[in-house]
Amino acid sequence: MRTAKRTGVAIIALALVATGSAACSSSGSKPVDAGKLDLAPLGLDKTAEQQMRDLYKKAVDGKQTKLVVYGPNQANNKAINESFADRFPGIKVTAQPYTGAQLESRLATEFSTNKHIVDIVENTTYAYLEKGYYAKSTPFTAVKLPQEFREKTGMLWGVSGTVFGFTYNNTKVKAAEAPATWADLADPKWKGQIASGDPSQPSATSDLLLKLRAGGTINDDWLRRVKANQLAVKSELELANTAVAQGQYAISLVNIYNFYAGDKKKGAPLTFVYPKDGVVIEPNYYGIMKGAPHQAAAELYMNWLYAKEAQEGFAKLGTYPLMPGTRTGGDLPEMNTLKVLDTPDPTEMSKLWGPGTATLKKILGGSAAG
Amino acid sequence: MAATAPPVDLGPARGPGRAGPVRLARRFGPVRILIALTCAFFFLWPVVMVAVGAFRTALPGQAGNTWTAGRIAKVYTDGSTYSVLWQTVVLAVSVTVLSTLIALFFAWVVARTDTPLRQVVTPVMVLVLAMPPMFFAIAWDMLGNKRVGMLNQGLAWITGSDAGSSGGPFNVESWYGLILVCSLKAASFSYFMVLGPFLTMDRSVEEASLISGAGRIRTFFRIHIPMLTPAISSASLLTLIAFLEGFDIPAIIGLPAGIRVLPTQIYNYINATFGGQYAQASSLALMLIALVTALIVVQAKLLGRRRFTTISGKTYRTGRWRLGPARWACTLAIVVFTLLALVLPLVQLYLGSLQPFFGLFQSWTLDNYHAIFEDPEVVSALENTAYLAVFGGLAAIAAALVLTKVVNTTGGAVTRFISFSTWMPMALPGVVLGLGMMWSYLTVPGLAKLYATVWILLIGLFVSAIPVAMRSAEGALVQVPGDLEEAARMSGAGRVRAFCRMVIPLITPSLLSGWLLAGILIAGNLAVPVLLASPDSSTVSVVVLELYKQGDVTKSAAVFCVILTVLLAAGILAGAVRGAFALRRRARHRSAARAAGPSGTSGATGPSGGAAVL
Repeated sequence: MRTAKRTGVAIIALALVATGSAACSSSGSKPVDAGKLDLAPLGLDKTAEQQMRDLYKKAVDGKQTKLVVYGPNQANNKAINESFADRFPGIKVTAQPYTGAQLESRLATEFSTNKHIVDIVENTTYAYLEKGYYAKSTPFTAVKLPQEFREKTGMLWGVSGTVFGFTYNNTKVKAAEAPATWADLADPKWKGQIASGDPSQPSATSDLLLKLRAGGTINDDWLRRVKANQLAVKSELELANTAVAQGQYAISLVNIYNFYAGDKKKGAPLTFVYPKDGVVIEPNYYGIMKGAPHQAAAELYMNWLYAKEAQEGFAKLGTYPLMPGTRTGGDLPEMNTLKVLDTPDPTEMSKLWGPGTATLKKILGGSAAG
Repeated sequence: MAATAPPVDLGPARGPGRAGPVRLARRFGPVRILIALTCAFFFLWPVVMVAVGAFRTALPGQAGNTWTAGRIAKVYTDGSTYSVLWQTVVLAVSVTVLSTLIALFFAWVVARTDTPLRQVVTPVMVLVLAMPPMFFAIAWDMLGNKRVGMLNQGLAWITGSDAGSSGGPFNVESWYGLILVCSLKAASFSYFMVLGPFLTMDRSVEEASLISGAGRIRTFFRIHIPMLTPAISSASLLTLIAFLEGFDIPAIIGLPAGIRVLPTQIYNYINATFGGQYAQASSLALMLIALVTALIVVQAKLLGRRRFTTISGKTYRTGRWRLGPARWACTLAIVVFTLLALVLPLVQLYLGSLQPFFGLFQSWTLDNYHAIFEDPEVVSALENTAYLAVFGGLAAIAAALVLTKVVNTTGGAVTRFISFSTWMPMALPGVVLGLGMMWSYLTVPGLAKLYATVWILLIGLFVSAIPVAMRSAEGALVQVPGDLEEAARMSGAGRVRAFCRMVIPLITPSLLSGWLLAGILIAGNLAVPVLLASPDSSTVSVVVLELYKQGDVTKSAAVFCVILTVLLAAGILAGAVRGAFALRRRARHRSAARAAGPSGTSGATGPSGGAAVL
């Protein structure tokens, strides 16, 4: 029994240690007086600056010291969110890279229980618009944002543009011999050397292929020839990129520039190709959710996204800032030097997903059920 | 097998002031019903919600739902469903057979033989068990990659051939690769299920067999195996179920090889279709529930009400079998298993954690470690996971002990229902279980407030760990003969006191193993927190998944290496504490033997003595 008692004491001690450690999570920086905020890097006029200070004061006075953002790109946007938290001390951004069913399930649960956690959702589609999840908001800093990046009802706002092309491993393929167009990828000389993400399910891979197909850049014959080249289908685009970087395959059929930029920074021997027959640039939309528990903080964040500081932050990440006049970052070329393809808008894409992915699965394969 | 007398109800012998059989029946009837209702809510209600989901067109809480059997009918009339079912069964059965044989072999080596290096088996198994399946799969996917895997590269280097162009002979993305990797992982789990009973087995029966002229092989098959039947069947059943619903390894290694199993298909219905086909996923989940239910019934029929006590109140010898030269073959088996199940995957992961990009061996960096320690979300997730593993595991094993005691000492439909309900969380693939829990708890008005708190996560993880905790508790309790508890009660101890003072101390090693097992499973659980965790209550598995999805495999490897290092430190500390206790216990035994004089039993120990082998 003594052993059992000692074991009990050890258990309690262990539990206390665990409790103690769990209670020691970081609290973040403290709020400051709104008048002392340094807003010069935002590049706003005096009126907008004052509006930002008012929103900050409202958020802090309302104890809105946290902002929750869900969206597929939030993992890549860590630097953006840290930049916001540095600019507005005391407001911490908690971002979750939820996507697909996980995001849908989260939102459905929060709305059905009326217990709202998320303030802002970022997405490349209008998937939750017709469900009535978004609240109307108009960022006063987005006055100059081109109409093509605004959703018609004023609920979703394009912030940055993701560039789609493809990549190759430059230790396996010489620059002079590398494919330069989408059409080149169907060449039999690449047999057994191309990998891709899963085209049979909603993903960056299927998104791009469906847009290229809808715009006529590729067709079903191109898909069949790519399949005949023994396309290796991986479950995630990132895994296909990894396989190419490791030298398992020479070419990644589809890639996103900011994915490539991240891999390149880590030393991956990859080269990004802007296909001569056209690149696709896809806006990322942000919207404030109905019932957002940190409404003032959410509005502050939405407005900050269109300020110079945030737009330049997106450029550094390898995406195109959508506000006119913001310089492109890194080795990303100016948008007007590229052939940018016309693609279906998010509303039209909603109708293409079902039949489109079924066709892609039929021709290219993939693991989608059903 | 040690037969024991049926349990005797000694209630009336305790005097007129205590409750008689009728009053006890009246008293425990409502208690059992209350326990059954609690079990129904925690274990069965999520299953019901998933079943209901097969007939819904919208998620619970969403507007516009209609009821239809069309989707379930479509799934069940689709030929590909049965192809997937067949592949699932082939994988699960193959893995079960192979892993159980491996586990039995190593449990026997550790418990009964003089094999050199046997002491490393249990620590190796702990580490293999603690390694999250996702990491195990990723590590092996790299190791056994046909073109750039370390195994093929190593072979190419030795033979001077070129593995890069057409690939080497090993390809883990194949049927044999999948079965091998799953079996290596599953063996660690089965090992702990059979080791306890092996260690605490009453050796007098074995001695009787040997004295009667039976050889060691015959004794192993005629004595050891039958006595261990509950533990072996539980381990096999759990492995079978685990790989009927295993997701991580089949998703990473199986899918690229074109091998689809029910869990990956269910996951794809939810995550790989636009909008998520929840009804179809629920329909497939119902198929798994039916399979698991059938397995439970089969196990119950096979074992019936036979008793399999392996501990007695008598002392016994702990001498080991001397294997002679054969012991070196056993040592070789230990080395090979350690290499395949631990060293090679770990080398791959540790190397990965030091690489800026997974699989590139040109440069090395500690950046991944800096990054994770500077990331408050990772640190917070590590803390949350420790907390959930300790308390969730403790709650699970405590609840399992109570439930097992109720099931073992009472009969009837209510008791059978309690026993059956505890299997149900095991019957659902993780992601569906998470959905079922979320749907079920959130439809109860008061519990909806728990959403996005650490409490719903704790409940969810507790429920998910119950089936394994129950098997641990069952395996422990079934070894203790009823006569020990009865003796205590005849000496005047009450039912609760007899149980706490007599039974629990005897099975404490098994309970601690059960707690450890439940805690490890909770710490590695991904499916439940991926749906129930809030941004403020994230766990390591969720953070690692996010890193993996971002392509940050190297950072996720660093997180794992940190956890492993902490576990190793904890293991060393626990070993030291245990060693200190063992030394003091031996000292007490020696002084007691000296006090008893020359008639003391030399070379004998109590049932818990075997645990010192660990």
